[in-house]
Parts: sequence; C-alpha cells; structure tokens
Amino acid sequence: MSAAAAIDVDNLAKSFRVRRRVGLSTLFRREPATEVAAVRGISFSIRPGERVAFIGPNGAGKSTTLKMLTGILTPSAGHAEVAGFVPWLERRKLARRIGILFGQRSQLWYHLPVKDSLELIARIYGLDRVHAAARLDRLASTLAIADLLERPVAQLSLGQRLRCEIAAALMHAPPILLLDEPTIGLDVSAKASLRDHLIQLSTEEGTTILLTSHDTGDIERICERALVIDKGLLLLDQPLATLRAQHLRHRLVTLMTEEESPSLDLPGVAVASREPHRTSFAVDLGLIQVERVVATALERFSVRDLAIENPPLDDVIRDIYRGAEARVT
Amino acid sequence: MTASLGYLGALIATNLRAGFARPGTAAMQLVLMAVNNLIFFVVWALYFERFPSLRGWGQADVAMLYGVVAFGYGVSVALAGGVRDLARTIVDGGLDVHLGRPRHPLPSLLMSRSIPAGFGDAASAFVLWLWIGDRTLGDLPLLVLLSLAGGVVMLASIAIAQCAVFWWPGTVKLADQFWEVLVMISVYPQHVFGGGVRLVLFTVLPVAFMSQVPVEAVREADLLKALSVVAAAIVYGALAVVVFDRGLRRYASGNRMVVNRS
Amino acid sequence: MSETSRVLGASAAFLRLGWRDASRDRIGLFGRMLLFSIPVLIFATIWQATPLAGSGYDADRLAWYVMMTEAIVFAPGYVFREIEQDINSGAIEAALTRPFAYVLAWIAEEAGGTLFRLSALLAYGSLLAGITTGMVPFAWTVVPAIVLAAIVAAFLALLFQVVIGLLTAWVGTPAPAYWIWQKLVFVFGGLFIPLTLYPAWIRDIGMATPFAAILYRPASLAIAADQVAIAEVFLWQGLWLALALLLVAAVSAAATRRFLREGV
Repeated sequence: MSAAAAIDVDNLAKSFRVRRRVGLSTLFRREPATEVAAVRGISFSIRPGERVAFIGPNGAGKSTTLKMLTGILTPSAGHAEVAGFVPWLERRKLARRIGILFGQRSQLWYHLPVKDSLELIARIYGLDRVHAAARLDRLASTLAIADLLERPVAQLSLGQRLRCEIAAALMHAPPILLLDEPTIGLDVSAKASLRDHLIQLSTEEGTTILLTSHDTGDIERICERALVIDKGLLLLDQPLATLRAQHLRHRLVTLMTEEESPSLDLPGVAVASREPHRTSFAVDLGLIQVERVVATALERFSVRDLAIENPPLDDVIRDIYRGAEARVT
Repeated sequence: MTASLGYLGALIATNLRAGFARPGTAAMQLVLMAVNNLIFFVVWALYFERFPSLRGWGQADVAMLYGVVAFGYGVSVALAGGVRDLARTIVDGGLDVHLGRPRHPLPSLLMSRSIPAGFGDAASAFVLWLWIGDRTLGDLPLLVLLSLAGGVVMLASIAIAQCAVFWWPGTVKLADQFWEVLVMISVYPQHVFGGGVRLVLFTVLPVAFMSQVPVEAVREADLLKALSVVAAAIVYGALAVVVFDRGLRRYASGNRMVVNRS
Repeated sequence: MSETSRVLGASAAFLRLGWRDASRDRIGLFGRMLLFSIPVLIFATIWQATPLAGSGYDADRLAWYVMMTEAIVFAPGYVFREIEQDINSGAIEAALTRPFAYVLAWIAEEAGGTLFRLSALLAYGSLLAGITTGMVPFAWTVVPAIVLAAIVAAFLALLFQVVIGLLTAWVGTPAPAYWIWQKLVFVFGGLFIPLTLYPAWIRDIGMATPFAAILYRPASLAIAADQVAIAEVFLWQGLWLALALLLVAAVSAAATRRFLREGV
C-alpha cells in the first residue's frame, strides 16, 4: 500500500443482511435474514490529482464502494484509506479532506438563498469569515454562479443547482472530490458546462476526482482512468486512452432522411438499427472518422436531422466481457 | 339507484384495498391508534376521580361522547380520507380526472384515499361505550347510527371549507386548519359553553352534531335530538353538494387557476 | 479556530436559521395561535364549570396554568417527521459525511424555531389569559424564571422528538410512537389538570417522569412561584435535561452504527 496514494483500496467487500422491515406480522414470526454481497473484494489505488471514473451498471456496487470510501458504510472485509484516514473509523476527520456530491441529493437548504447555504457550510467546516468570503468569490466565478447566489435553491434549474452543489462540496477546498452521478438528469449543454467546470477546478487545485456515472460522456470528458465494476467485482482498471481504443471506439450516428432506407458502404460503418426514414449506423473510430461518415451521408442523402452519440454504458460493458471471453478462449 | 349504490360500494372496496395494501403496517397503526385514544381518556378518568360531576355530566357521559367522535371520525377517514386532500386536489388540477367520469365527482374524490388507522379509532369507540360509558348492547345501533350521521356532518362541513379554494385559491392551508379545529373541539363536552359559543357550534363549526347532540339523544332517550342529528347530516350533506357544484361551475367556466404556492 | 468554537459557531448559525424560518412563516404562526387558543379556551371554560371549592385552585389560576402547558405543547415543530424523511429518503447520508453531528444540526435549528414560536405563544397567551381572567397570578419579578422554565420544557420536548425521529432507523414509521408519547405527556405531565389534583399514587408516578418536567413543573410556576418552588423546578428540569441529552447521544450513536453497518 503506497503512503502517497490519495485513495487506497485493498480487497474491500460489503455484504448486507436483508430482512423485512418490522410490521405486526414480523413481530411474531422472525424471518431468516439473507446475505447479499454488494461488493466482493476490490482493490485499486488512486494517485493525488488523478481523475478516475468508477463505472458499471445499476447494482454493480459503485455506490456501495463510494459510501465505504466516505465513511458512511463499514465494509464486511478489507481495508481502505482515503487521504490517509480509514473512512469508517475516522469519518469526521476524513470529512474535512473530502468533498462529496450525490447527484440526486441536495446538500443545499431548499428554501434558502444559495449564499446562505454556502455560508452555513463554511461555518460547519470552521472556515473563518475572510477565508470563506474569498473561497466563495473564487468558486462563484469559476462555476459561474455569482448571479445565482441571492436566489433560493427552489428557483434554480437543475443545471444551476448542480453547479451550486459543487460549490457546496468544495467550500472547504478538499483535496479529494467524490462524485456520484454528478450529471444525472441534465441536458446536453448543461452536462458539457458542468464537466468543463469540474475539469478546470481540479486542474487548478490539483483535486483528486473519483466519479461514478452511467454516462460514458462524463467519463471520456473528465477522467484519465477508468475502473469498471460489475456484480461487485473489478472488471477492468485501465487508462482512459486504452479503454477508448479498446471499448469506446464506436459512435452511433443516427440519420433521419427523406430516403426510406439509406445505406453507406464505408469501411467500419455498419447498420445498427433501421426504421423507415431513420437509420442508425455504428461507426468504428479505429477505421474511419465520424466526420467522414457524416460528410458522406450529407452528400448522398437528403438528411433532415442527425445525431452522434456515445455508445451506452451497457454496450461498453458487454464489449468488455466479450473481450475477456475472447482472451480466455 | 341500485347502480349508484353499486358504484359507491365499488369505490369503498377499492379504497379499502388500497388502504390495507400493506396489511401488517395498517394493522399496527390501527391498534396503536386505539391505544392512543384510550390513553388520552385517562385524563378524563382522572378528572372525574377528583370532581364527580361536570355540570351534570359524569365519566360515562364523556366516555360516550369520546366514543361517538372516535367512531364517526374514524369511519369517515377510513372510508373517505380523500376529504383531507380535497382543496389541494382542486388547486393542483386533479379534478379533471374525476370530471371525466360519468358520475358526480364528489364521492370518488372523497373516497380516493383511505386512512386505515381510522378503524382503530372506531374500535376504541366500543371500549369507550360498553366498558367505560356504561352503555348496553341495545344502545349500540343508535350510537352507531348517530355517530355515522355525525361523521357525515363532519365530512360535509370539511368539504365545504375545502371548497373555498374554488373562490380563494390561497386558502388551502386554512382548510387544513378548519379540519383540526373541528376535531379538536368535538372531543370536549359542549354544554359548559355559553350561548354565543354554542350558536357557533351549531352552525359554522357544526361540532354539536358530531358529538354533543348524539350523546344527549342517547343519554336522555330524546327522539327529537336523534332526528335532529340525522337531519343535520342531510342538510350539511346537501349543502356540501350545492357548494361543490357552484364551485365546479366556476372552475369549469374560468381558466385554469393560477396559484402562487410560495 | 478551535474545535469548540467551530461547533458553537455552527450551532449558533443553525439556531439563527431556525428562528428566521419560523419568524417568516406568518401563516403557520397564525394557524398555530388559532389552534392554541381553542384548548386554552375550552379548558378554561371547563374549569369555570368545575366545583373547585376546597381544591386549593381557582378557575382563573387554572386558566393561566393551561395557557402555559399548551404554549409548551404547541411551540416545538414536528422535527421527528423531518428526521423520518431524512432517513427514509437517504438524505441523512450526505449529512453524515459532514464534520458536524447530524442530530446537533437539527436540535439547533429546531431550537431556534421553537424559541421563536414559544415567545410568540407566551406573549399572545398571556394577553389572552390576562384579558379573560382579569388577573395575573405571578409577580413580575418571577417572569424570567417562568419564561426560562418554559424554554427548558419545550427544549426537553424537542429532544424527545429527536429520539422518536431516530427510531425510524428501526421501525420505519415513528408516527405511532410519537402520538403515544404525546398522550403520555398529556396524562403524566398534567396538560389540563395539575398533577397535584390527581390521586396520590398517580401523582407520584407523574412527578417522577420527564413529562412533569415538561408540563406540570414549569406551568405550576405561573400559579405559585416562590424561591423554593423555582429552585425545585430547575433542579428537576436540569436532571431530565442531562438524561435526555444522554439518551439522544446514545440513540443517535446506535442509529449511526446501524447505518454504517447496514446502510441507510
């Protein structure tokens, strides 16, 4: 275990005992509890300043792992250190060294102006007034929320609110930032702006980021390295460049055309799905650039609309499994 | 007529199924609510331990009154718990679903929700009547009938208060408070009050018909008082339908209500 | 900044927040005053109709007593519901990752709101009782003691609500526990009948419970307050305050242990 690591995880495992909640019937008839393993022994290490994506399908064990790393869940086995602390033993001390953002959960007071929430958080972390004011100014300008500060959270759009949530998570300038689905529910442009802000902040302050997401876009834009987890096991730990080359090499180009069923006989382009006037092509980036595919399509068909998408995470994971099987056989 | 009764029966059945969807939880709430009522009655038992009479009323009379309210209130919210949300449903535009049906919307609105703990209230009524209230089994039919009539008066007057939002959409919270005030007063004997207050209790806040008059009818075997409770149920019930229909006309003619919900 | 001053500073910030929220909720306050008036008037009327001769009390004093107990009952919000929601929605997780105790944040915030509402209810209630009875049963010099006893009482009630809210970790819905707890407060605290009018055995039980420290003891000061009585009230309240704080700490630690082991 390296002392210099920001996050160090060694064979971490967690299983839950599941029992029905108390009702009149369960008072008299105890049902045996069943053990459900959520995380089955995973190990990894993250250097300070690294930006790492933690990805996997629903129920893979991402959130459980993240909760153990923040200290709000005690593992059944294994060890971990975050910023030099064992999270579940030193939760309060750790709290000053990490910032946390749960995308679906607010840490701002709903009916208060954003500024009041941020000031209250500054009090919780014991920042003195001068420090807090300077920090607030800096976050406000980097996250472009200066003109939102006087407004109650209730009046903000989701994208605006999430930028304020990031400010809340970063008020105490933590060296480590843990993000759980930070862009969930955002539209495309809000996602892009949130990602840019995150990258800018972490580069300027050397913040270590560990984020979970369903969105392959979050991972590609923000992270340098990816941990893929499924069914509680670490499936893959790779630099993003490798992951991109091996498993993110497809784009989905969807064309809405006057033609009922257009076809493109280009190398690395295959039809992924087809309906009348709407065709999706899987484009292999190793063989052809998306720009060329689009240019060719515009040239040959009368295109009413088009969309370029990242492959869904499930496809990436299926692809990883396929790769693993291929290597075994 | 039979079709209407069948419709009401179906509404009640569906509502109860929803209320008891988690039977364990519902049963626990029901039992605890009954316990809750009986503990509170201890206050009265202690009062009468010290002072044998409150202007001619003894512990048995107050127990009977408490039982009448518990039964009427309990059955009302167990079967027609939707009355609680009526005002909110109206301002949130939730009426439209009910208006689309070929029936008067009021019953389905009131019976859109069941509060199963109400049956716990109703169960405690029997303990209060038969054990503490010194009533016999022979008194039960009249007590049940008058309690239910009182429950109708309660439902109707709450519904009327909730209908105020048709005219003044900002009064949602006030409607909630009307409900609480009504129930709060109803559990106390009202013959201690002077004429002014009593006038209010027979009209604007018709609490008298929910508790005091039914008890006096049974206690004094006064047929006229018993009939007045049933009459009150009919009058307030009809009034609720009239007010609701008036409000509905306003709702239908106007544009969507705009409510500032800050 | 020292650890103590950080915790105190943050607690004070939560307290101010609670006070400010409560003072902005005008409609809520008027509704509460209306609801508060009803039992006060009903009980005052019942006492007037009660043959009190020989009991050592008169109807006017008892009206003041009831005003006090009801003010204490109506001052706290429903913090048990807030805690229930935090636990059942999982929002408590975010709070657990802060270097500030979750329960302390709620206690401070609710204390702020409770303090505001109690002040308003006591002011309005005194006016109401003063006008309807035409008398004030205590000397002006004991007013600070009465107010302080009422504040401690409402705070005690608030602490027990926090404990009930935390029970969500085990029972899912704490509401039935709350209603039963509240009824016990009414009975053993002497909501409308001072404990001294109870039969001796039940009076003795009541006096030994925290319920008396919440209702009977502070409210009895409005009827008769000498130095000894005041000292006795504060002694009992201090004792129960200490025990209640220990209980909050123990239950909160147990709930946290459970969350850490089994998740929220």
